[in-house]
Amino acid sequence: MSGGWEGVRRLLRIPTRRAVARDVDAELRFHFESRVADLKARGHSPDAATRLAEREFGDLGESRRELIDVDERRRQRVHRSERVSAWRDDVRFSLRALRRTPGLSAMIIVLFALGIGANAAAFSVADALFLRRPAGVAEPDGLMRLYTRVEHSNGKVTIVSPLFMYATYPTISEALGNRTALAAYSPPDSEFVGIGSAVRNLQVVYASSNYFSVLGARLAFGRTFTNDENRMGAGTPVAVISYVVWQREFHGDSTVLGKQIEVEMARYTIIGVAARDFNGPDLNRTEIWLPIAMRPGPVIGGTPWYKYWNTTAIVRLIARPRPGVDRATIAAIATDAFRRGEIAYSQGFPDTTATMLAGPVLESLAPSVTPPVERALTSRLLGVTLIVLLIACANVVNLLLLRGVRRRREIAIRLSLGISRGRLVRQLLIEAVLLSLAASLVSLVVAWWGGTLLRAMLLPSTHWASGAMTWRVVVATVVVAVVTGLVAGVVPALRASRTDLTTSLKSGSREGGAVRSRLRGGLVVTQAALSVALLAGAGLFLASLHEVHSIDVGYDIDRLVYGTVLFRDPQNRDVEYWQNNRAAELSKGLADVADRLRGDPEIDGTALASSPPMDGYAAYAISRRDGSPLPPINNHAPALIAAQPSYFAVAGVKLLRGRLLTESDERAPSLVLVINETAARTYWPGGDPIGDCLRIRAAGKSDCAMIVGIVRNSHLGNIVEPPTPEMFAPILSNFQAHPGYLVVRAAAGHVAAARATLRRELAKQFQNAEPPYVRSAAEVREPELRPWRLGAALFSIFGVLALIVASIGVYCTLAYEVGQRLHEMGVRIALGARRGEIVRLVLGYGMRSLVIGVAGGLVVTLLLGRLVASMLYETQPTNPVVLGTAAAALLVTGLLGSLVPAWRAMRVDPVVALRAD
Amino acid sequence: MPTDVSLLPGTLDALVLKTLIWGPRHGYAIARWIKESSEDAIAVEDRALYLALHRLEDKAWVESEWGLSENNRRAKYYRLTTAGRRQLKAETERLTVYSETLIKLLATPLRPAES
Repeated sequence: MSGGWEGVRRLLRIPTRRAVARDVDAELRFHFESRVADLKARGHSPDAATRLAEREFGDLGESRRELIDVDERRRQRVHRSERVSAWRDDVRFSLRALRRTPGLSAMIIVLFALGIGANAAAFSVADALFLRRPAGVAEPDGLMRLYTRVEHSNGKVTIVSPLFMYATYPTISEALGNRTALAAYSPPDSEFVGIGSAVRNLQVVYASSNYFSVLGARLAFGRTFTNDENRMGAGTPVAVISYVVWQREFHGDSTVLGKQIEVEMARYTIIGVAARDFNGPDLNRTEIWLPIAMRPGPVIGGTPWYKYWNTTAIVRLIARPRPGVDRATIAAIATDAFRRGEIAYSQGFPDTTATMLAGPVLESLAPSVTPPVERALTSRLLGVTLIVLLIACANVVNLLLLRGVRRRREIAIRLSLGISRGRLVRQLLIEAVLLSLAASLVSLVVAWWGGTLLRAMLLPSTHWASGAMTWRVVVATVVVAVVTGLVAGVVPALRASRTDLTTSLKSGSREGGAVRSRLRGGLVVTQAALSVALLAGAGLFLASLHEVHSIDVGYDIDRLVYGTVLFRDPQNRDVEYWQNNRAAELSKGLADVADRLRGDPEIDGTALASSPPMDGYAAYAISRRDGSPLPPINNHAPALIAAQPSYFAVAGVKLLRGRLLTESDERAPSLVLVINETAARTYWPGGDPIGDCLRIRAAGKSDCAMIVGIVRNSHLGNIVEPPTPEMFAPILSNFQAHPGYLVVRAAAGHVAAARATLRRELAKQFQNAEPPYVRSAAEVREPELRPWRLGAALFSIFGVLALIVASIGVYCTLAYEVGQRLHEMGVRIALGARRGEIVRLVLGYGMRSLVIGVAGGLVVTLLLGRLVASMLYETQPTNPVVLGTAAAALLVTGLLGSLVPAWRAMRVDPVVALRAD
Repeated sequence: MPTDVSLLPGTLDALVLKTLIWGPRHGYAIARWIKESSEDAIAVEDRALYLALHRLEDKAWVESEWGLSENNRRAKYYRLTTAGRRQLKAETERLTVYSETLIKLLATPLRPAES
């Protein structure tokens, strides 16, 4: 055993077996030496004396062993019980000590609970995103998800996506053969589902027939699709519904099998109900599973969508490899199959290479180039809550120090009464851990509420298999609590145990050194700095939200409502069939509805259009007079929207120059166009487009369409996109665009009523169609504001939390400081200091720490700003107004926190203060 | 050499406790006391004495502490505890009754059975 351990052993008085043997030997040696000396004194020779003593004693070796055994047994027993009772005493003592200062203890517990609770809440979200595996799936670790990685010839990875064109599925699946089972499904998408007479917006997945078997998913009852029912081009309308839908929509009716639901113009027969916890391999909620053969899709140039190799990627691929087949093998086979298919069926993309990757099933762990906003926010959120925890910890350290100093005399007395410093430290740490355990109980409640709230805010469409509190969250909370308790407790405990007996007994409860005061000042500085960073974060998101909100989308967004209908018509997947048979019916019907709405007091105007404002896209091949095509701008080809002349007034699109479309344009033999600013500036830089003309191939006319006016920019889709070139043509001219939408301008303040009216009229007009699709423009814009709303909400919540915690910290520090210096204040006042000077002294002390902290916080914000920069809109992380406001908010709160102690200092009665201690 | 008296089982403990009644002593002092006061009549092996001491300590009837002997050497001193004092009293009574009965029985003249 090392000398170091020996030292510790002696310090803590822990006997060892070796020490027991040494004691026995010493005792026996003493016996023999005394006996031999006695015998020699009686005249025995030394030899005889030794022999006699040994004979009198008996078997020495045997006895020594026996004595050691007896002592060792006793030592162990005593040691055990001493240890237990010492711990029990320490815990009891700590509890008593905590009860003696209930206010301080409660404050520490609340601060801790806020910090830890915020963390636990964030963890409960992160847990589901990053740690939880899909529920109801057999052996989820054995699953892989395939991804495509598209690499530019310049080596830049432009996209990593889990989506594939359907046609790649049979190709890759065949290449993989029996090495791995591969299932395809479309990601959950919201559809209107007719159940009896009701229509519900449910999340629908179209899946291959081996989807359930590859995932190893069980059904509550019924069956899944057969291969026959899922033959591409000849699918059978059958459906599996989720357990939740079965309970909610069918009230758990056991005769649900065989009943029908309607999705996208087809009636499906329910054949199975999924197991209670099964939600597919994605985080998003899934409520209905349909055969992928039933998925509506266009026929393009005579080829159905599912055979077409140059179309949108719509399916996700999940593989369950046989044992021994590794990722690299699957990725290599898939890549090879994909490239062969690409060459065979399409021209491919000349300067890009696609590689298949086999990766984790959890989407949040997927390889990606730009993670979605929610995921990005979640990772920032963890950082934010960590900051709150740090602030709370800084405060707890502060308060524990304060406790330690208040108990200086008590500790000095205990030390002088002989308590070992080790025991003292242990006991102080026990206090800290007890506090944090109490805090962890409170924080579990905070976490439960907070976690539920965060989940609803961050990931509203996610299917949560369990509540916010899982055992993982509970364990994590308690572990974090105890670890933080120990960390926060160790400095104060060591400090307290280093108490110098004579000075602290002499100085009473007052504190001497400037060192401690500096440490506390440092803690206030840290808190202030971190709070400023959080507040600045909140400010940046609020500023972004404001910017986004005030984007002029070019429409009167608060007045707009639009709607359309879809026909229940299996044939309508063929684009040509649709144009020949249904388009006329739709445009006639929409026009009828528009006529009926004309006198409605809630509606200020109507217009038929080929696509609605804020939602939709219409690209036609457009060329200049000389036949040269117009190039796309910002990745958007010029959009051509066919609309009635009333569209501009209805949507609120303002004329800049020239004239708008008129009713006579609709009947005129030649086509005229109105273009937007971006189109004018881009295609006629420095020139005048009015009077020039453009050729539109879809119009089927050789003559050139005259440009008659220029209107302000308006946004087609994404509101934060740069403006795109747009053109407007009269819809009822012989131009071949069909009105797909009826756009309605609601009377001011009557959007909801107009929306209901439009919906009712459409339903009445198209009785053989799907339930009408009606939206308000504000509703369409709402999800686009979500990332900034979320960021603003999160940072605000935690920023305010930090602000509260930090001002409590300032208050505590100053209150303590004033308490310590009452004597000094008394002396000052007795010597004639004015009250104002005393107040200034105290406030000055608090403000000095705050100002240093604010400066530090601004530096931290500038350094960390780039972490959120990508999530901001038109707002620089260095925005001086935001930073200034955050700094001012903290200074004001800090000032408020220091007023009470300052007031108290001012009211010191010199006589009382000088007599104390 | 005087007659050897072997100690009856259980009596050594009482004897050892008795030696401590006047204050703490180390093991050798106890051994010497037994030898001298019984005038070597009771033959106790020293090892039995020490085992008894340690067992008594294990039972918490005595407790030990290192101290300095009369000739300034480090020695282990044994002291009677309250429990030890109570035990000594009980044991003394038991042994007294036992020995008196034994003596009475041994002193009674043997007569033929009265049947």
